[in-house]
Amino acid sequence: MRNLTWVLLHVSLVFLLFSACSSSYSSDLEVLLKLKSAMTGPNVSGLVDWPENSSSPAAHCSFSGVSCDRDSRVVSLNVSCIPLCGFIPPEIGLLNKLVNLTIAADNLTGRLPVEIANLTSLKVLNISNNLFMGNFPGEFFLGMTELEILDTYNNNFSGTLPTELANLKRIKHLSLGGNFFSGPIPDVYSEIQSLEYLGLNGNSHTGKFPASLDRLSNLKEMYVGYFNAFDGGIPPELGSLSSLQVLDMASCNLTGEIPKSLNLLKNLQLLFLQINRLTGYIPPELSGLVSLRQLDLSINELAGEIPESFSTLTNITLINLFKNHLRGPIPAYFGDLPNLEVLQVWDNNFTFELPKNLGQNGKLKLLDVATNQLTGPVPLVLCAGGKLKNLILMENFFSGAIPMELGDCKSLTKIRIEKNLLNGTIPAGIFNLPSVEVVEVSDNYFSGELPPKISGDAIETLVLSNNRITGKMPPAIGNLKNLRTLSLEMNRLSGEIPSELFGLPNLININISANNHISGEIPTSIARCTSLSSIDFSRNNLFGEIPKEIAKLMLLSTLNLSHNRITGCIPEEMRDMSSLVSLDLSNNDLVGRVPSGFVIYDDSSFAGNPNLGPQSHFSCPSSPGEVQNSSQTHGRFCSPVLIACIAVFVTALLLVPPRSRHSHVSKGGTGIVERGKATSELTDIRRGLIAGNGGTHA
Amino acid sequence: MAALGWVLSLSLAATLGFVIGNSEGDALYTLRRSLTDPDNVLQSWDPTLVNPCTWFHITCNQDNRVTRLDLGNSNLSGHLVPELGKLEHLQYLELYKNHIEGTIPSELGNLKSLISLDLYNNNISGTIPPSLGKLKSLVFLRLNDNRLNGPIPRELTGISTLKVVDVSNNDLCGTIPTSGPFEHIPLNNFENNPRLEGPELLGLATYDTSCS
Repeated sequence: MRNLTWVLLHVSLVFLLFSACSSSYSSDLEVLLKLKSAMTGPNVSGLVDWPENSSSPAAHCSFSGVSCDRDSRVVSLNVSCIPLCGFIPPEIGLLNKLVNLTIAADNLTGRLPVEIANLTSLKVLNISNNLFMGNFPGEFFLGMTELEILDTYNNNFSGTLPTELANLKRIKHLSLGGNFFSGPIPDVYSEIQSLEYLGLNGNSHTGKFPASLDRLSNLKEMYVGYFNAFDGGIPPELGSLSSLQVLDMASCNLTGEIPKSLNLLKNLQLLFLQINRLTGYIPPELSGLVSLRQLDLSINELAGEIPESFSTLTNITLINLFKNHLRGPIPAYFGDLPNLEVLQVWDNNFTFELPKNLGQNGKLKLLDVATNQLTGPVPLVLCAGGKLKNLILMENFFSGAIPMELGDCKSLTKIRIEKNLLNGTIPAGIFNLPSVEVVEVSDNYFSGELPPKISGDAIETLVLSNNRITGKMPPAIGNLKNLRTLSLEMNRLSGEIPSELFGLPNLININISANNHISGEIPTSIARCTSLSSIDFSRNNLFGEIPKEIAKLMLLSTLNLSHNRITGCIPEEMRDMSSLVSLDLSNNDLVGRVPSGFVIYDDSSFAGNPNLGPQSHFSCPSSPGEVQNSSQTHGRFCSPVLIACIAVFVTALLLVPPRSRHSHVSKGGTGIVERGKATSELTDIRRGLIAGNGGTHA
Repeated sequence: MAALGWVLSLSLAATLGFVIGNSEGDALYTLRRSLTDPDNVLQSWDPTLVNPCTWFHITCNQDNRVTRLDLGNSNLSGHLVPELGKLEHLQYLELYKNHIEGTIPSELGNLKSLISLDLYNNNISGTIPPSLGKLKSLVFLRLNDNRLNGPIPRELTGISTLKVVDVSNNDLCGTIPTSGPFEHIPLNNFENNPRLEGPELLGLATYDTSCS
């Protein structure tokens, strides 16, 4: 008897175990299918390779993104960057063997289910880049003692930061940024001694930045900037974060000075304090940051000079100091920094010269020293490594010539050196660089001629205005097929406008005014340039007529042809240019009348044309389609001759028998009506003499 | 990890750089985000630049304030944004011949330097904001060939500089103003508005109009 019951007990136990095992097999499969239906929603088809009708109980282990252990329990679920649109269902809690749950960038919404607290084996939870909302349920995480990575970056969580996370003793990576968390950073976070990565950036945090965080001795990266708005400044205590490699406190309303104690951060590689309200001097002590690779203090209110001691920062690749109140020289040792790639110090009060050997390290990529008071020559070796992309020296007092070497700098994409005291010839190579998009050299003293060979077909903006450039506009300018803006005004160019210019498909603005000696006629090919929005040919020596083809420019907004020697009539076709809002034809030799329909422009648009106006002896065609010899600039008929012709016609009509007259009149009536009709006939006839077909222009 | 952090900061800086205080560039970038631009005419509109003066289709004055916006015939759709009203030095707003929808923001009445407002040949609906009467330098007001409804605001008669008004081909109602600058606007600039009643009669005669 005892043996039987024992056997029965064993058998039933085995059965029980068996059923328990098989139910956990099918339950993980069922759970995943339940997940699929909750996360995909009715209209979205994601997770297509999670088939519903799986036969084998362990089929889920070969679903994409799923990894199982030896018992076919799901230990890892990685479903990311798939456009799902549903939510996480409570069934997730049944996957209690999960170690890695990554469901990032899936467009998921709703709140985290309380069942997630069941996942006590979790080491990695990544729900970043979704649309989860509400308060963050820190209490769900109290049991997740193994959790090492918690990433909720870029969701819609709000409320205060969960203090429960301070209980997690293994957590290394805490990324809560990019949400709408508010309130201060809890002091209790200083107890998370295991933390290596802390991301609280892009939230709405306020209050004083907790100095107690200096206790995070393992912290390597801290991101707390952007859209946060702290009271006060950078706690000097942060210098104690001896493991710190990245400190990003950009754009979070920090005030006060940069603490010199930050020089203790011997492992610091990236120091980002830009877009704040920091004042005072750059502490020379920061030369102790021997690992520093990137320093960004731009857009603050820093004063004083760049410390001489920074010559020790030999690892530095990026120095951003723009938009401050800094003064003094750009230190000579900047030319010696072996790794410097980016130097952006624009909008300060720097004086003296650039280091002569700047660029010698062969690594310089971006140089922007605009809007300072720098003097002296442009360093010859800026492009020594062939990597220079941005050369921005504008609004300074640089003098001398542009080094010829820069004409060979094939890496250049932007040259902005306007508003300096530079002279000499612009190196021909500048117009033939393969990648340069912007060439702005205006407001200098450049002389010489433009090169005959121009092939820089990446150039979109070419601004050479207000210099002393002579010679003709080269036809090769037609090779700049990406050109949108051409500014040659206020130079000493002569010769004709090359018609090749108007083959440029993208040209929007052209200004060649105030060269005084550009001559020739406006080519009719101007109409080919259909994207033109603004034309300024004023103050030159252009002659000939305004081509009627100009009316084909349907986007032309501004046309200034003033102060030339243009003759002939204003083409009637120009009346139809509805895009034209600004017109200046003054001070030319135009004749005839201003076409009606131009009433919107006041007299200044037409002044200074002695033979243009209502009293003009010359008459111009009053309707389109009239065939006129374009070289005929004088009026076709003089008024006295016209009146004589009319007089003859009137006489002829009166002598014609009544029956013929009746045929013109639409209804019979008294002589008065007839006379009235005759008058209108006369008007028709007169128009007919001028226009050839008697219709009025509408 | 540090590299990732740098990329993170840079991309955040790129997208959030406008917090600097370049409000004109911000306003224009808000416009860019609400327009659909299949021909990429707004490709040069980079919000990380210190001002929008190097952007194509934007013209600035000596003080780097935007004076012209030239986007006629650019295949744009989407809608206008109230932020456009922040461009206080804007003289020419040229958005004609596109497929822009939505309404005319009343904030455009804040563009106190505006000389030309060309929104013609679009798909714009809603009413003509009376706030446009504040544009005391306006010369060109061309709203024709849209789907505008409601009345022609009488406030427009106070703009003595107006030379060209064209509201034809819309669905406007009420009467056509006849005072001030409207004395010289030809009637066919109001045509093809089936519910537009005709020139207003000044004096005791009133139209029985249900146009609000």
